[in-house]
Amino acid sequence: MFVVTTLFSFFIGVHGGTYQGVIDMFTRAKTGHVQIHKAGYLDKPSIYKNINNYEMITKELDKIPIIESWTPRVYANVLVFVDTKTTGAKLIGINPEKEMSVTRFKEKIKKGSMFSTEPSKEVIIGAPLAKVLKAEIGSELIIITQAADGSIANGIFKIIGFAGRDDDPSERGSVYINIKTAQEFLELGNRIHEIAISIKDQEKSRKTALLIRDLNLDKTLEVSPWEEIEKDFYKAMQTDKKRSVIFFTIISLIVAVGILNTVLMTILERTREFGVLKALGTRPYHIFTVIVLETGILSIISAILGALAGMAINYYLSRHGIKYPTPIEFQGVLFTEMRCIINAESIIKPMILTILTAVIVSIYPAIRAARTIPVNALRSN
Amino acid sequence: MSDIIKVENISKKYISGQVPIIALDNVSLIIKKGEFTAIAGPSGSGKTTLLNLISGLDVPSTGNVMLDGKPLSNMKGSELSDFRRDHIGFIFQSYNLIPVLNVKENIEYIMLLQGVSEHDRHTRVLEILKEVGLTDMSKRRPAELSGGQQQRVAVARAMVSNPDIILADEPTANLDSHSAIDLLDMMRRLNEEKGMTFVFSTHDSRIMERARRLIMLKDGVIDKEEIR
Repeated sequence: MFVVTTLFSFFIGVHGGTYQGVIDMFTRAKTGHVQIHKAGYLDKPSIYKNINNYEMITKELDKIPIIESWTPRVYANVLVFVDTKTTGAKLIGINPEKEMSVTRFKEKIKKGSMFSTEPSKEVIIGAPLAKVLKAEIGSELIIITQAADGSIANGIFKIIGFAGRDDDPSERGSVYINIKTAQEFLELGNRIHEIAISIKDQEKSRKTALLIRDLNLDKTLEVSPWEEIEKDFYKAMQTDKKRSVIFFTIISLIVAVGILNTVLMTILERTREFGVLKALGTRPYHIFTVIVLETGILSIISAILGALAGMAINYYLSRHGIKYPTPIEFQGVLFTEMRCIINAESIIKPMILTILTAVIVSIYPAIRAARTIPVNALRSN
Repeated sequence: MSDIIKVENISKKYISGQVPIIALDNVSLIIKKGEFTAIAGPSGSGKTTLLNLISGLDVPSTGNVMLDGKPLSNMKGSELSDFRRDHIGFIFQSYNLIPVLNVKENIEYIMLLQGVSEHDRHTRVLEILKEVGLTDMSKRRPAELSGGQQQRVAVARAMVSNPDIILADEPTANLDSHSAIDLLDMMRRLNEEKGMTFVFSTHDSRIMERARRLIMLKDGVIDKEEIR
């Protein structure tokens, strides 16, 4: 029972850690945990749906303790050219310093360098886009789009880096540029399209979104947790979680059979003892109660010790992690290890499972022992 | 002396494989209060079966056992358990002490079932330990005792609640001759001093000599009976 509780606790720790790792991977790659947009932007993005006075909003965000950092972004659909090659792309204006406090943008740059924090005519483009455009580091990139004032914006920029790998679909159309350059280029003034926020506890993304909504900063804005922004991914995760319930059920059944076997063996070994107790005048009900209580007490002790051992393992692995045999790359960011988590679920669930299973499965052996026929039991060795 | 056990025409048949075995065949006997009776006979003569039927541990195929005027065949489950607890003391051939309990706990177990207060239990255990000569061993576990000492604990456990009768199935079978005679002498002393009824089975002729009444079983029937 001790081993079962430890393993189950470890399993939940790994399982939870995997999900946390995947969410971290996803949110730290680009999305952040919470985003603020003009109402309707997420459903139908437009250069005209922008946020005014974002500094005023971010000043308020800085006052919320759970918020770790935030970064402003500007987006526009553009047409890009390198020599005779042309294609559609997405211009993403970022503040390099702030962006790196929310996402792992720097890790995405696989070739070349990061653009400066000051406005410049430098861009980083997605590696797959570079492949399409046959662009090199140092190539000139012409960008044409419609600016926010209705004019045609066009400019020549220097490619200083490639983001992601050649086969990374998330970087197929990305053109990263300094946000101030983007605002100037798109005639946005100080307006932006998105504030991406990272929080200290990723489990509280919905709660944080509600907290920001409650600030009533601007009624024309909408605040969305990552679960709403990336609905498909979230749904896929939920489906996977439901699937893991089946897995948990199977594990629980294996645990139950294991405990039943142990209790039955113990009862069988003590057949003679129960025969003696019955011969001396112990009521069947007392024998039944003794076995259920004994199993219950043993399971409680095992569950506590098992949960402690599970906690210790999960704690160690939450600090040191488990290295992936092959690192996983997601949206250009490389993830090398998975960490376990310690939460109430990884402590309480295994304990409840062990104790409940032990008590329930002890009922049958207890009935068997209570029905022991003393004469037969006394004849047994 | 009044009758404590009345066995009326009891038979016990087993089926071993396909073969029916008659362990006891139409046995009748009466045991009076305060008797010190040995049931003797060779292996397979039906001694253990007779004791099991008298104690209600087993059910006769035919016939009836009355203990202090009460028919055992009418009792079942908890009623029979309570009856055994309050009226019968058992001494087993292989002691059958509870290994995880110490001497004191083994002896007071039945009183615990009876709901006797802790103070009364303690007093009674000390009293009985003195009677069986194990005063200094109350904290020892069965594994720390010799066979003779374990059987003395079993005797103490059997008589601690002052049952109407103490049944002992070959109580000396696992003891050396010196310990066996010591034990029998102690049982006989308790019988004389306390007036307790003892019925024990044996096939040891030296033990038979110490019984006041000897019932000889052979092939499931009473072969002969002696009163000394």
